[in-house]
Amino acid sequence: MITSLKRNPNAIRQGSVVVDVVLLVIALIICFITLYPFYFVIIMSISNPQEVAAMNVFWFPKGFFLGSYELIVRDTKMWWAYSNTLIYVSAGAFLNCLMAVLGAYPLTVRGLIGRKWVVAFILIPMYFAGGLIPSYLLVNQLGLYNTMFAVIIPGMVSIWNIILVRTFFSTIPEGLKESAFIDGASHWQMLFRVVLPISKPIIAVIAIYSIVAIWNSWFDALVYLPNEKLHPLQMYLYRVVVQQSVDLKTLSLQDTRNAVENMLSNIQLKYAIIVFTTLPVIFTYPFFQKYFIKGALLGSLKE
Amino acid sequence: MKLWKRTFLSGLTAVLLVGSVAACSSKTDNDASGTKQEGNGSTTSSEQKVTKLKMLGPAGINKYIKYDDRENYPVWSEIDKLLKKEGLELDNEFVPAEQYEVVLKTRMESGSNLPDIVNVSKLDNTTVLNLAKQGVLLDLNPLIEKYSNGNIKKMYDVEFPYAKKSTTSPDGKMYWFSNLHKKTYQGKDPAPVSLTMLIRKDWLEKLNLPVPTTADEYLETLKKFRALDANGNGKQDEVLAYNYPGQFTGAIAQWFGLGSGITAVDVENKKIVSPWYQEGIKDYFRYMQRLVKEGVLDTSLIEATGEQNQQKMTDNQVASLHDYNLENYQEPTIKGGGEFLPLMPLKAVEGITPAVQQEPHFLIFNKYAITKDCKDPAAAIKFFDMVYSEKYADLMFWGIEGQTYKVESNGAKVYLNNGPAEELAKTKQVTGNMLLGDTVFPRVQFSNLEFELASAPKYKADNELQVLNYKPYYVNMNNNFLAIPDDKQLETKTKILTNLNTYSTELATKLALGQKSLDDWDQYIAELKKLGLDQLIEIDQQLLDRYNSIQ
Repeated sequence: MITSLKRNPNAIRQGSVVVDVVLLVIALIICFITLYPFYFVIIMSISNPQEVAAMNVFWFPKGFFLGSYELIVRDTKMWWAYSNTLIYVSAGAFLNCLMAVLGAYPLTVRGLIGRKWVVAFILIPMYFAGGLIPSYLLVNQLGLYNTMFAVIIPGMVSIWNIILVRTFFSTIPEGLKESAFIDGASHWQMLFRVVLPISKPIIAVIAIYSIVAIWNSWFDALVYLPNEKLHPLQMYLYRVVVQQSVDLKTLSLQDTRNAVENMLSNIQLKYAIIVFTTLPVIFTYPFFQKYFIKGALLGSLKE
Repeated sequence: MKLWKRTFLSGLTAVLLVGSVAACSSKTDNDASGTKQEGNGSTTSSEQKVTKLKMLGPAGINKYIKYDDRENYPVWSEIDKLLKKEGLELDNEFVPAEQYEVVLKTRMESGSNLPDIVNVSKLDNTTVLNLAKQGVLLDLNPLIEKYSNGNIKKMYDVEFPYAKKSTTSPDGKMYWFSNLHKKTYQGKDPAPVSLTMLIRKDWLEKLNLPVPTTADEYLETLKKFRALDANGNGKQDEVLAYNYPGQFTGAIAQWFGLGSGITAVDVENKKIVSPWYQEGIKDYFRYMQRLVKEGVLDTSLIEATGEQNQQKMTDNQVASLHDYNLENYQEPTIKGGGEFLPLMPLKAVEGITPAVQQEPHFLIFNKYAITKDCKDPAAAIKFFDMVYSEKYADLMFWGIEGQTYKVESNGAKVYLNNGPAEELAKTKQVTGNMLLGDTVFPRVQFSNLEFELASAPKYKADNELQVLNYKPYYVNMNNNFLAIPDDKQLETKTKILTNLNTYSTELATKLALGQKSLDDWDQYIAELKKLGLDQLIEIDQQLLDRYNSIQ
C-alpha cells in the first residue's frame, strides 16, 4: 500500500515546466547552430570588403556594400550558369522521375519472367562502377562530351530511385490493379492512369532529391564540359573558390601579383555567390511539403 | 493490331531519342574529322598554304583582358601577322583555368580527342614522361632537327642555355617546350630578386626606431612594435607572419646560413646541402623559440592559408612577413595603409655569413607538347619557331614600342603604363602576355630590372641593388637546378620523401615552437638518417651533377 503511494522521483511527469524549458533551450541551440552559418554568409556578402577580408564580421554587417552582387549580376557568365542549371534541373528531375517509374513498374508486375536476374542486374552497378576514365571514354564515344547531354543523360537512371519507387508500388493493393485490368486497362494505362496518380508522394520525394542533387552538382561539369557556356551554377562557384585558393608559394613575383589581385576580389564574391545559388532552393523546398499527400488512395477501394 | 501499333510506336520513340543523341555526336565528329581531314592538310588560300593547328590550353585568368576580345587589341594584330606569315591558323580550345587540370588529365589519360599542341604544365614530370613512353607525346629533338628554321636552337642553346638542363629527360630526349624567362640589369648582368623579411617602415618611423641590422635587433624591434602599440588600436596584436618555420623556406632560416628546403642546392659550390647538417641549425631553432616565447611570432599563422594571412594583413596587424623584396601588392590591402621595407639578410650567429634567398634571374617553367594526333608536325615546329623568335618575345613581354613600352636613353626598356588590369582593358594598351600568356602561347621573356626599379620606391630599389651581387645565396625553386630523375631515382625519392618530409616538417615546427627539446638532437638525426635523408641528398646530388653536365 505504502509503495503504491510512493512517487518515483525519476519518472518524467507530463507537463513538467522544467523539462519543457530544457528541451526548448536545446532546440534553440540546435536552431542557432544550423541557422547561424546561413546568416553569417548573408552578412558577409553585404559588408564592407575590407572588413570581410579581415574577418571582422560576426553578428551584424559592418558597412554596407552591394558591389559583389553588382559584379555577379553584371557577369553574363553567371546568368548563363543560372539558365544552364535551370535546364539541367528541370530536364534532370523530369527524366529521373520518368526513368524511376518506368524501371520500377515492370518489377512489380506479377509473373515477370527472370525477375531475379533482372533485379540482380540492376543491383550490381549500385555497388560497383567503372571509374572515371571508363565513364569518360563512354561519354566521349557516345558523342556527349562537351554537350549538355553529358550532364543530363548519365545521371538520369538512378537505381536507388528505382528501388524506392518499386517499394512504394508494391504497397499498392493488388485488388486495385486487378479491378483496372478487369476493366480493360493495358499496362501503360495502368501505370499512367491508376498507379502514378496515387504515387504522388514518392514522385515528390524523387523529384526533390533529384532537384537538390542536380542543383548542387558540379563534378560532371568539371570533367565533361570544357565549354564554360554550358557550366552550371555550382561549377561557377567552384571556379571562384579555386581561383582564390592558389598556392602563392609556387608562383614567381610576376604571377603572384596577378594571383593576389584575383584573390582579394574573390573573398567577398564567394559569399555573394553562395547566397545567389542557395536561396532559390531554400525558397522552393517548403512548397514541396504540401505534395507529400498521405492516404490519397483512401476511398478508391472499398475492402 | 493494337499491340503491334503500340510496339511500333514505342520502338519509333526509342529510335528518335537515340537518333537525336547520335545526331549530336555525329555532328561533333564530323566537325572534328572535317578539321582533321582538311586542316592539317591545307586549305589553300591564294598562294600560301594555311595550316590549321588544334591547340588545347587553359583560358587566361584576367577578368578584364579577355582572349575573346582580342581583335580589339593592337598586340593581337601583330601576333596574328606573325602567324599568318608562317601560314598558320590556330583552332584554340580554351578551358577555364580552374577546370583545366581535370580536363587535361582525363583527355590525356584516355588518349582520345587529342589536339596537335597541348599545354601540359599541370601534369608533373613523371606523368608527362609516362605519356611520352606510351607514345602520346612526341620526342621533339628529331622534329626540331628536321623542320626547324634555327630559331628554337638559338633560343635554347644561346639565349637560355640552362633551358635544356631542366627539360631533358633521363633518356636524353626532350618532350616539351617551356616558358623561358631571364632578367638582366644593364643589358647583361643577371638580376635575381630576393625573398626576404619585410618590416613595417611606417611603424619604424612612427616610433622612431632604427632599422634592425642583426637578428637580435630584429626581435627587439618586433617586441617594441607590440609594447608601443604600433598600429594604434589599443591592443598588443602586432605580429610576425611566418608561415613555414618547419620547412626552412622563410628568409630567417637563411640568416643562419641554412638551405631553403629539406635539401637545397648550393649553386655556387654545386653541392646539395641539408639544413639538418648545417652549422647554424640549432641556433635557428633557439632563435625561433625566442620569437615564440616573446609572443611576436603568431603561431596561429603557421601553415595558414592565404586568406588567413590576408585577414591579418588587412587588419593592420602584420609587423613583418616573408615576401619578395620588390613586392607591391601587400601594401594596398592594409586598412589605413602602410609601407614594407625589405631587409638584407641579418647577422644572427658569429662566424656564419647570413645568406639571401633568391629567385633566380632565369626561370624555365610550363610545358607545351606536341601530341601523336598531330598530322603536320612541320607546322607545329613552325609555330614554335615563331614563338622562340625575338619579335614574338618582344610582343609578348613588352608589347608595342610607343604604346606599351619605350626605350630609355641607356637602352633599357620600361613600361609606359603600370595601371591595374581594368584600366588597361579600356585603353587596350596591353602586352601579349596579359592577353595570351600561359594559354597555348608560351612566354619568352627578356626582362630587365630597370622597369621594376623605376616603379618601386627608392628604399626597395636600393635593397634590390644590394641583392644583385650578394653572396652566399640559396634559391627559392631548388627543382629548377635539378635534372629530371629517372624511374628508379624517382621511385626512391618519392618513397623517402613521403615519410621524411612529414617527420622533418613536424620535428622542425615543434623545435621552433619549443615543444621538443634540443637535448635529444642525436636521436632526431638518427631518425632522419633512418628515414633516408642521406640517400635523398645523394640522389639530389646525382641530379644536380647531371643538370650541370647537360650542355
